[in-house]
Amino acid sequence: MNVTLTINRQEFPLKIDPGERLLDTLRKLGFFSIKSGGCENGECGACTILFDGRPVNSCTMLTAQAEGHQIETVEALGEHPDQGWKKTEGLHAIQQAFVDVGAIQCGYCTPAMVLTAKALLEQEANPSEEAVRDALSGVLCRCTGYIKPVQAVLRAAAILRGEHVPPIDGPIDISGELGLGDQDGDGNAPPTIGSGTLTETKVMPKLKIVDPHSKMKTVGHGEPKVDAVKLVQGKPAFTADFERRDMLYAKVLRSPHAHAEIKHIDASAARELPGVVAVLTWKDVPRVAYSTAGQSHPIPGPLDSFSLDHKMRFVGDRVALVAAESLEIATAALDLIEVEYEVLEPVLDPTKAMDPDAPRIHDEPEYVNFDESDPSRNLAAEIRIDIGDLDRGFEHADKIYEAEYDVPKVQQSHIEPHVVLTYWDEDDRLVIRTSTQVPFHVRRQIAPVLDLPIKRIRVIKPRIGGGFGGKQEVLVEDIAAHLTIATGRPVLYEMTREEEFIGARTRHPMRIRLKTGVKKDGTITANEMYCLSDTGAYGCHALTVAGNTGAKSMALYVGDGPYREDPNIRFYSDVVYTNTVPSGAYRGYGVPQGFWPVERHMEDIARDLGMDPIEFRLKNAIRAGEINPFSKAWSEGREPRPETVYTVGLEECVAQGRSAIGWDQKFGNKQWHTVPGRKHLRKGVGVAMVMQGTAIPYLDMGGASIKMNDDGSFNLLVGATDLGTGSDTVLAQMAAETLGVPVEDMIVYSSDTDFTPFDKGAYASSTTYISGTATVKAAEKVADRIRLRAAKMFADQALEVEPAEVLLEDRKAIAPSGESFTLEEIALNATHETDQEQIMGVASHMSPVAPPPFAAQFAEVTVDTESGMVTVDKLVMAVDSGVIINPVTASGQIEGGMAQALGYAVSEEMVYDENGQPRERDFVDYHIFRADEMPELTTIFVETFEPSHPFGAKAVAEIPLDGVAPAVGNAILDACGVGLAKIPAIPERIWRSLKGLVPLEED
Amino acid sequence: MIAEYFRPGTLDEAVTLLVDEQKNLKPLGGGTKLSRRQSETLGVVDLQNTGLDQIETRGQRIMAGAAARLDQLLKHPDVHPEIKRAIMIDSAQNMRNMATLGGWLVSSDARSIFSTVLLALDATLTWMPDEERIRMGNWLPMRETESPGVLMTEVEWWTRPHLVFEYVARSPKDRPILIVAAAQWGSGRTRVTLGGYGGTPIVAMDGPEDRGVDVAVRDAYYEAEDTWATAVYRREVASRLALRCLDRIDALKESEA
Repeated sequence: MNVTLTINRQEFPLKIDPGERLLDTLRKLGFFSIKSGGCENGECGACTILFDGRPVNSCTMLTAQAEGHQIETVEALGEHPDQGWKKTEGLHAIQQAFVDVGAIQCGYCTPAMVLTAKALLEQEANPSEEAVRDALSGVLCRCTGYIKPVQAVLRAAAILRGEHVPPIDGPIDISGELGLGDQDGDGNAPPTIGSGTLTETKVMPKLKIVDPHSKMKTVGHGEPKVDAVKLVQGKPAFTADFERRDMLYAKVLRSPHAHAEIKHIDASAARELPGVVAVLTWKDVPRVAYSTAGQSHPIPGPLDSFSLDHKMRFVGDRVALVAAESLEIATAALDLIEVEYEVLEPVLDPTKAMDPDAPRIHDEPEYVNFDESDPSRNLAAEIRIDIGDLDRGFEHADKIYEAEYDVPKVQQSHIEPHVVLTYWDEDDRLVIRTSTQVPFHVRRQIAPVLDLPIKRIRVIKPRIGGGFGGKQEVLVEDIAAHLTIATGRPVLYEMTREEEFIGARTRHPMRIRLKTGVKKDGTITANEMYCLSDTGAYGCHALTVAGNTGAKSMALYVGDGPYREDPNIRFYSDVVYTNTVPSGAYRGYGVPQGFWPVERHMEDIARDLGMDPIEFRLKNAIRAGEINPFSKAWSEGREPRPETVYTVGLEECVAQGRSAIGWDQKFGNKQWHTVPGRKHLRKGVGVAMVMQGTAIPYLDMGGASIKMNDDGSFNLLVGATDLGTGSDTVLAQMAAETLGVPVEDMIVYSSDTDFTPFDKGAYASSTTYISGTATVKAAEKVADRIRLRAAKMFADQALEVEPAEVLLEDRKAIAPSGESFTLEEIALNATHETDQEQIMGVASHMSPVAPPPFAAQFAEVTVDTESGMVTVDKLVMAVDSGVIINPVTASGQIEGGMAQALGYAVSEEMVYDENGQPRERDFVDYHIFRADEMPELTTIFVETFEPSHPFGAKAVAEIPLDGVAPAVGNAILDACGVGLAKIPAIPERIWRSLKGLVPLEED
Repeated sequence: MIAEYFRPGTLDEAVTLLVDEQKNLKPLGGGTKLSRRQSETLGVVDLQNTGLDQIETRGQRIMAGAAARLDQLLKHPDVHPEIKRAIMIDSAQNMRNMATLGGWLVSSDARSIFSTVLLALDATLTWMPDEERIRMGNWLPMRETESPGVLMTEVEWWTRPHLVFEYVARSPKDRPILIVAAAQWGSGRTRVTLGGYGGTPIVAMDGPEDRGVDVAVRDAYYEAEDTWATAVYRREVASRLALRCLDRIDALKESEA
């Protein structure tokens, strides 16, 4: 049928299919600002357009419906102000506010948020924060926690009203202050909402400097993200935004059974469907056992996966791959593949997976063991760590506490699904453009699977629409690559949201048993954890995630007195296979699983001992100058080496956090716990203390390359993978600081295995620390060359200067006398005038230590004691991440991390029936928080100076995932006396405890 | 898949298209459900030009066209604040800007607060071609099997009853696992509905007074068990929430006195 669409005031006569979705039509027309979250129900809102001025989802609207209406996309808003000889009006005020405030992380949902903001502000010039949150409610964001987008809209509103808004610069220095919290004295002050800008109090985090250091020009400042301008314009920056001539579309037929053997498969009817170009089954591709876990060589886990296999190990496992001329044809072809299954008994209960009579999930002869994996027992990994003398420790104890805890399977839920485009280039090299956190691992690990040498593969990582560990997996690249090899044509494969839930990766669910010996004075004498981890159908990350569970959470509490030097700790873990979707890497990487039990356990012990829960924890927590006990015993399957922890800001974090939440006014205050007029409600406040790691010592390596251009600008090439975190910006800041230039003079490119140096990728909270140090090293090499040349140039002018005396600042090389050359003059001299050379530097870094960040997490909740429903009212996190390189991006990490962790605490879980069928297949049943239901979030940075980093930084990205659940759990305990052992804190679980009924899982 | 698309200019034209059984045409409201990929081949009749998006108040009743969008209901001054609150919880703004009243009632399940609340208000639906009026409580149980017509054109409900609801969910805007809605008329008539379980909300009680509401809801959800909650939880908590609803209505009446 023929229709004419009016898009951004321009008419587009089109011939369309009656059933064509507006989303697809608009993207075909090149409006790439409209993204797809792969959902079918309009849950995510990434595809938002304005339809007659109203935000709507273009994925749940037919193109034909849009005829006669005005469609607006972000492409019609502002653009880059300086386009050579053509000048424009620049970004729209809303876009500029999103850039300035730091509201953009991965940027995938940013165009949608900008449009909804535009619609709101055209209706209401002075909206309340509540109205802004409602406006944004239709756009899910997994990165930001929504604070900064809300702030951006309020700031834009003020600007559009013609009001003055304050500039956004450094964080709010609270050194010397403690009184941050509810200073009105009632301890229950509502969050400030209303019109106007709240940027001073909310955009910038509060900062407590523990270790004073010199003020810097770019490091420590809230520089806008280097990719913000393109993302706010919705430029085609993501994998699916690129198309190739003759491109095919891939679909995957997935197993309907949790455990089955394919007895017969016939793809002939599918192959004969017009438009189908290739159908591949297990018979058609090489049988190569590999691991999908994107990790350094050698992979610390079993090789137990195949691109395609005749055995199905979970509902959603791959059966066949299809490439066709259109997505619709590829989808239709799936129905034509005939498969006869022999359904096998599934293993769904991890506690029974190692039973002698349990069905065996991996019986393939190609299986390659790693360490203690034993597929005959459905055992993917085994860990046995003993530190000190546990028995002696328990003998010393006056009291021993034992308890068992459970954490659920949850999903990363990045809004951009897994997506990959593959094609042969003109040199017959396979190009893989993929949304990955680990481009170099992808290249190395996929090569044998495709029977290609590494040198014939090029992996390009464009912008990533969120990853959170889900893309630390070689999950989809082989699908498109096999089909490109089979057809010779480019192939695009993008997962649907349902496939993300049934066929991607998750956080490992675990059952954890704790046993702790304590003296009467609160000294921990021995601490033991047993962790049964469920890796699902494949053993990706099985060993290392479980190792982290114990190595981080059990390292925090070493005990007091003599136990500080000689703690008694045991951590044992069995990681078992089950017939569920595989677990894998998910931000926090096992540590959130560990801190739920540890911090719930510590709370119960402290209360039983009659001790203040904060004092009890601090009494036993590791302190600066002490050895991390696990560094002597564990290093992800490699040789451990003892490490001293030099910076611990935990006590200051506690002091700041307790003040901000008003702990002293609330904890133990009976009156505060009640809600006047609502006798069924009880309020509670809770705390948790956590630590993470910063990279993996003696293993993680990152490289950086910097070259100077004619105008004194620099290209910074890094293999590091910015998945929305802002790492490109942070690396640019550190390089700029070293070279004495503004960030805008650093042109950052990441990452492409052909052009950028190796980097292990974005995981283990390592980029600022590892890749950042590599960047600084490369920048120092460049700086040395600049100083040397400047000294020669000074000498030509009869000014004798030692190169080391040359100061690089304000785009100049400055002699002690004040004479200077601009960097442009130096670049021209080097490139064209005298002793020509390319000023450049290449460096890499590997760290012998992994300095842990620390945090104190506080939560305030309200519990409905008649229904068990929990409302989280407030989260406060005080974090020691060392020196904060960029307070805007760093606080964005904390806010977004707390939002994800909030879901882990109260709403997110993946449930399977007795046949292994997943309950959660979309964002309707799998609920992630909307903008209009978030609690108040407060971030405080406590700055220590980590000596092993050139600017004193430690990790920030993962630690916010660790403490929210236990802090919420402890707040529930404080509110109503329910000591949960299992999350999420769903209403019935609490209600049953209140009623004294049998727990939900045993009913 | 959708093979045909029609956009009639009048209600009569739409009905004429829809009554032709040969064509297998379905009415298309906002498109939030029908636009999804599906295996069945069908055609759609887009209602956007049929004038079914009007909302009027007549006496003590509101008449809302079935093609009125949820965001229109939010803006209407006579729509009860509890209905607006229900819509705000059920649907994010993008969805409200697209979804129509009729489409919502046809496709929502028991976990919709809005549908549960309209059922409490004893809403009446009008269906074409015969202009058959049917009470929502009678229509819902046969929604999937026996339609009173080819097109829902209007939904009407009382404006005057006191109306409250309570719900339980994992988070404030999550889909509820339990909903209790109560409407009480000046005559004392009390109608209590339950949601959160099954395919549609149900009527737990409709009587001349509110006595026994806790028992009625407990009985109505006696076997309401699924993977989201056990029956014992739903029936016991529903009982508490029902009493809480009545307390809130009493408080409202007191404040008006």
